Amino acid sequence: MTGADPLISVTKLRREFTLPRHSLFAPPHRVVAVDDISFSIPSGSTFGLVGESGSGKTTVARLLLKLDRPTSGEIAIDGVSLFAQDRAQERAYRRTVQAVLQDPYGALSQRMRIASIVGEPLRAQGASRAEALAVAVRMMEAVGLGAEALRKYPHQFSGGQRQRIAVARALSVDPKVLILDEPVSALDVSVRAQILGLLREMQQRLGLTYLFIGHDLAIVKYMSTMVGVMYFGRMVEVGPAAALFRRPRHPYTRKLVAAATGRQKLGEVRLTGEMPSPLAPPSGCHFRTRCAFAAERCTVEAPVLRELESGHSVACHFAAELPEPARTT
Amino acid sequence: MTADNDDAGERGRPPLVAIGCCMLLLAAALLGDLVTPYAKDFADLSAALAPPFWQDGGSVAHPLGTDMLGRDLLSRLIAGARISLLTAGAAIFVAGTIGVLLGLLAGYAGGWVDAVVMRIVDAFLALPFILMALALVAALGSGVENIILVMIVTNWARYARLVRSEVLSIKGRDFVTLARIAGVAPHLIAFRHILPNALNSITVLALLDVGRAIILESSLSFLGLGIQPPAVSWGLMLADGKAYMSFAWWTTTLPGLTIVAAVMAFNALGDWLKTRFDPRAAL
Amino acid sequence: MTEHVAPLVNAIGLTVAYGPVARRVRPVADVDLVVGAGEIVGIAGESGSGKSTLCAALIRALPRTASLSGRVEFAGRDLYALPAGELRRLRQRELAMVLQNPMTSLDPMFTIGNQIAELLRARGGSGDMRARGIDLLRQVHLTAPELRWDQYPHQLSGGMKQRVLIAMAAASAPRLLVADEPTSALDATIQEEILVLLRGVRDTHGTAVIIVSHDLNAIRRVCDRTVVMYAGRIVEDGPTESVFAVPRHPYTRGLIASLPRLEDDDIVLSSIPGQVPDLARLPDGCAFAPRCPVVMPVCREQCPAASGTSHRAFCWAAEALP
Repeated sequence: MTGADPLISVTKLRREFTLPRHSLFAPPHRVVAVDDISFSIPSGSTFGLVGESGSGKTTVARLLLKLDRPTSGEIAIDGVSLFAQDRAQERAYRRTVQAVLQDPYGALSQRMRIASIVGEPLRAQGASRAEALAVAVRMMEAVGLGAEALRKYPHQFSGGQRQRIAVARALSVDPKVLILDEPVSALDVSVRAQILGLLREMQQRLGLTYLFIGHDLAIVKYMSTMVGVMYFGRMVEVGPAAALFRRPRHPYTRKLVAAATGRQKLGEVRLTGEMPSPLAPPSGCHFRTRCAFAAERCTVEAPVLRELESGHSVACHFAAELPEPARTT
Repeated sequence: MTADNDDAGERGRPPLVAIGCCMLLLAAALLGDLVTPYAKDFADLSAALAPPFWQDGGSVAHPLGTDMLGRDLLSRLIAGARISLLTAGAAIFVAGTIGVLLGLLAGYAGGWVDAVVMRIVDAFLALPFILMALALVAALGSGVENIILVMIVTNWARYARLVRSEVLSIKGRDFVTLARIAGVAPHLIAFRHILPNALNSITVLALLDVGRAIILESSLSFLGLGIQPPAVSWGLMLADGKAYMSFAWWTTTLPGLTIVAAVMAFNALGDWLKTRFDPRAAL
Repeated sequence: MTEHVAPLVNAIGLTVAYGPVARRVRPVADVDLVVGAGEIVGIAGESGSGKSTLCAALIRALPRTASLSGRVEFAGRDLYALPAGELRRLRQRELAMVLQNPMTSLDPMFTIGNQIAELLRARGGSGDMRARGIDLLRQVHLTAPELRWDQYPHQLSGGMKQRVLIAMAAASAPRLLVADEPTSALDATIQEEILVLLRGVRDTHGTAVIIVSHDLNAIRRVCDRTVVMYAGRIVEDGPTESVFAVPRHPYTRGLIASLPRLEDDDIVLSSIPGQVPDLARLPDGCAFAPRCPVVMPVCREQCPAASGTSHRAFCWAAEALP
């Protein structure tokens, strides 16, 4: 298996939710949280996933972690389909994919010692207490916390330290893939680089593959090889990180980048309108209600991801013809 | 300068009087016959209906007076404490265990398991206590074991409902999600992660339940359906003393006051713990 | 340039302390802060900096367990000496607050219109509140305000709720609006809108605005003046442009440096080594000394005094620099 083969392959992934009805006669509401998403992540690389609340990126993460089942579509890891696994394969899967989540304070069980917390995934795999402890010691040292920390409880640690513990725990089973859901968003700015640096170091050392979900575009760019932008359940743009952020092609991405670049005077970058209600998605292109370039066609026809440049795809009817944004250097 | 908002910061000092009362009652329950000045059914007819020591005709020999058979009231109150607290404790322990286990199951498993268990819970919660008590006593007879049974049958459902809702809210927390991602077996997640976090609420419910149990047991005994003589119960004492209320107030009133004091003490303790455990009260 | 205009808010030697004497915690220590009428001041800091406590102290919203020393003047009057009736009047007319979490700031049981009307009535309005209220909602660019008036909070998004809260806060044209992390719970594209609104309140009503935030970029974009806090003390205070262009305190420098810039081709992330100190166990001297790249012996002994006038920095090393 060469390093360039996609390790994770997502094909037309779809997740619909049926909401409880208000009355016996009304038809049930259906919300499409993830709308036929497809992307792949080569082994050893990082795929950054960007999107605001309601974009569906969290649902994608949950599906990848097998915390939820898709309505339709496929996820394959190392060639094996995720949702057709037997008991043994499912158990092995828990060794292959681990996660680090956003909230360092909610991630660690308050009443357990660090040793138990870090050793838990291995113990769930059948390791003995002694084995798990030995690995825990190694992990804690690898993340820059000493072995003495194992005897302590979570409340004795700061947010940044807790995330290190979370990383140690995730890596304890020697996974191939880490799902990182906003791992530094809840940390102080001055501490973020420490955790991100740790994650990058681990990736290089252990050849890990990452899915990195974040809302700080600069951090996503820093961590990712490829980036996907989601809006309202759909993937609207996918491309190499540097190229995508240097020259975003989708109107939504352009707005996000402009707001993040922050050099404009206040008020120049306005994204008018609110995110539409998930119960009433706009027809055709979901973004058209907030898009400066919306036209007749956008109401009728939903755009599909089309490759514009090598590796850089956009889902917009007019992507090739959009005027260049005003440069602000 | 002083600040002047009265929210947060004041989680309340421990209710020392209530705690003292509870400890007194527990001591009485545990030590029972060892500390009673007289045997609980020792009848001295010559001293029948003696008033408490602070009234005319009373003496320190019988500090709280005697009943119509000359039995020392203080001793009988202490003996009654034993019965009341032991039946309450047993009932709460068994009801709690059943309720917690079923609540964990319903909350964690979800789906149809949840639906089935909760319908059963609803059914039991709908049962009128007195009717159940009468029916069970008619079928099985009265006595300590049967009262405990009645209390278990009518009470376990409240624990199940509480634990289920706690489970639902804890289930969504990150550390549970991470345990699932780690592949920890569901029953281990339930007992190692979820149950300890629900323990606070369960403890509060159990404490508040003690008062309820005492009242239930006393009511049953008062009606003649519960504890039978020669065993002693505050409720029985209430019933016995009823006829003498107009001229020997202490035979009924003192057992009544004891019930009230016991219930209030445990309730105060439960309330204080509830405030103390409330996550929102923490800064 | 003479300063004969009295400041709107004037905090002198303000200290807020909690806890028993043995383990005293001072989330705000020895703060001197001036906010002029119509000024937008940003208070920046990370967790444990004390910025939220300072914010609460400035409008007398601390819990009873807090003990304060020092003085806070509002429009020349001692805020903490005001009797309850006057304080309430102040809160109705002149002071307003917007909090971090719009989800919990609105009562879920009542419609938006109901809550705005209640507020307007409390501020001495009468008659048909609906027209006035809808106009207020229009001013904050809430789409379809007539529809929103009859909706419940759960039917609005976070950004919309925050707009409603700003509308309510600005309703009485207060002299001071305090916003504690007004944009943290919101998406990036909505944050911009909210910042524009806050500036709009100042431009329309001449309201002074205090914005407390850990988001330095937000403060940079909207505030006239920036105050940086660390471990309960102000470490830098000056005009925003000046503070960001030439930060005089090593912490401010470190903070600004650790903000990654999207426009850089090669993003370099730096961090400040170590972590924020435990307020219960502060070292002697400057609290930042253990992490400071230019620490000097005097820093570990004495808390730095202010250096500079319009752009102050509390740093012994800053004295040496221009």
